[in-house]
Amino acid sequence: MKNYTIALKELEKIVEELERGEVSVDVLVNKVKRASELIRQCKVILRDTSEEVEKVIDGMGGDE
Amino acid sequence: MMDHQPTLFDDRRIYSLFELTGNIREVLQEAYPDFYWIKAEIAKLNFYPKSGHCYVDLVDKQERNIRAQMRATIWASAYQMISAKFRDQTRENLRDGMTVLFLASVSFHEVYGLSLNIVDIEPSFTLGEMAREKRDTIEALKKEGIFDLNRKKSLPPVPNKIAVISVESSKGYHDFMVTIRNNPYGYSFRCSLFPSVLQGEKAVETVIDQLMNIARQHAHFDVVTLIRGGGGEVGLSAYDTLKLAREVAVFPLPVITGIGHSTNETVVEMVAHTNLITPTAVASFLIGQFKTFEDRIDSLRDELFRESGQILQDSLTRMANLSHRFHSATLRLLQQPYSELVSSSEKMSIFVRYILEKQSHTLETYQKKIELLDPMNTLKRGYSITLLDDVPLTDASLAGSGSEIKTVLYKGTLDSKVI
Repeated sequence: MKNYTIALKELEKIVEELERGEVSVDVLVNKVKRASELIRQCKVILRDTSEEVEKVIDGMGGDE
Repeated sequence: MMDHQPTLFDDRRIYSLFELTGNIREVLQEAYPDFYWIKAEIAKLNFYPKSGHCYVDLVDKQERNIRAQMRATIWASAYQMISAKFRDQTRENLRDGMTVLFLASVSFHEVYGLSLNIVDIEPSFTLGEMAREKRDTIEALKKEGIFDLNRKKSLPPVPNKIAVISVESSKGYHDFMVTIRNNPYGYSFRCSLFPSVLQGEKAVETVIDQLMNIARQHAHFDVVTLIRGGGGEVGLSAYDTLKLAREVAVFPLPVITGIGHSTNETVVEMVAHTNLITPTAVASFLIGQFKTFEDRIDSLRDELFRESGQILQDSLTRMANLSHRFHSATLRLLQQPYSELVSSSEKMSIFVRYILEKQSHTLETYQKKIELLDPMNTLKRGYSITLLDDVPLTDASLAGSGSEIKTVLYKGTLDSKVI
């Protein structure tokens, strides 16, 4: 999945579940694994995006 | 004619041409003894610099038809005064097509024929005529609905392909090019010169010719500049003619004027897209357009940078926040069962300890009790135990004579025989 918004929504849902304490120990490890994966994905997208943005902006300033 | 001896030929009275023309001259002199104020249009003005005399063809038109025509002469002595006064007041040279009011006498010469001898001209009359022509031009353009046409054209954001109508050797053209080339931002302009006469009667035709020339290739240009400078302020009425003003008004490209004069705005300047005083001002205006565009691009770029940075920053903060919440929620979830376990095991151990302590206390009591019962303690005090067949003897009658008994003392045993 390469969509930040969808990943973020799912992540928020999991965190809210965790915060409400609705998650039983039996499924906790799966939820945590999923949340970690989503965080990793989101960070990758964010990092790629800001690198891309900086590259574009540096490119614009480059011909001055 | 009466003064001469009549000549007869076949009984007919004949006159020499000289006699006739001489008589005409006398009659005319008698009939027109004064100077008269006359208004007429200059059809053709021929000035001979060598002699300084000026010969003028005068016409009187009604609806384009010539209803009167006459030659006139301005002698060198009068012409100098007249032309200087005229130029001073009208900022125009006497030229073809102009309507003038002049003071003249009727003159007839036997060789040169009939003509007017102009001795003075009233410039304010021509000034009035010029003002009327200017008003007529403005009115005609407005009536045609084209007065605002060029002014409403939009200037390209970066006008750098410029058709310049000017005179190559003029100060105005030089000023323009220097300002354009030395612009401090290093913008590049492509200027093409379309040489033209810019004042006097030839200006109308040559400027229009060059405008047509530019119009044919207008796709290659962004803007036309009409610049003039250093040529004095005489001969600008060309810019009030309907012919030229119309071409500028309907021109397909924005026209920027920098004609450089201090008199009233001409009609061409009124209908031009932008009118500036000097060629230098025109150049600065064009550079200014570039600068405005560049500043706008720069500020958009800054805004883009700021906004995208903000979005990324917000996303990072949100992600960090979520991540933090995730960790603490997870830890909490893990710690809860664990601490429940811990607390139950703690509870359990307290209970066990209690039980154990209680048991050990009981044991101790027993031990004390047991200790009290231990026979060794009695033996210590000098008591002894008598055993019969290794059974403690508590009844002496049970030990008959001859029985072998064992006495257990605190230390050691005695074997004896009952007597």
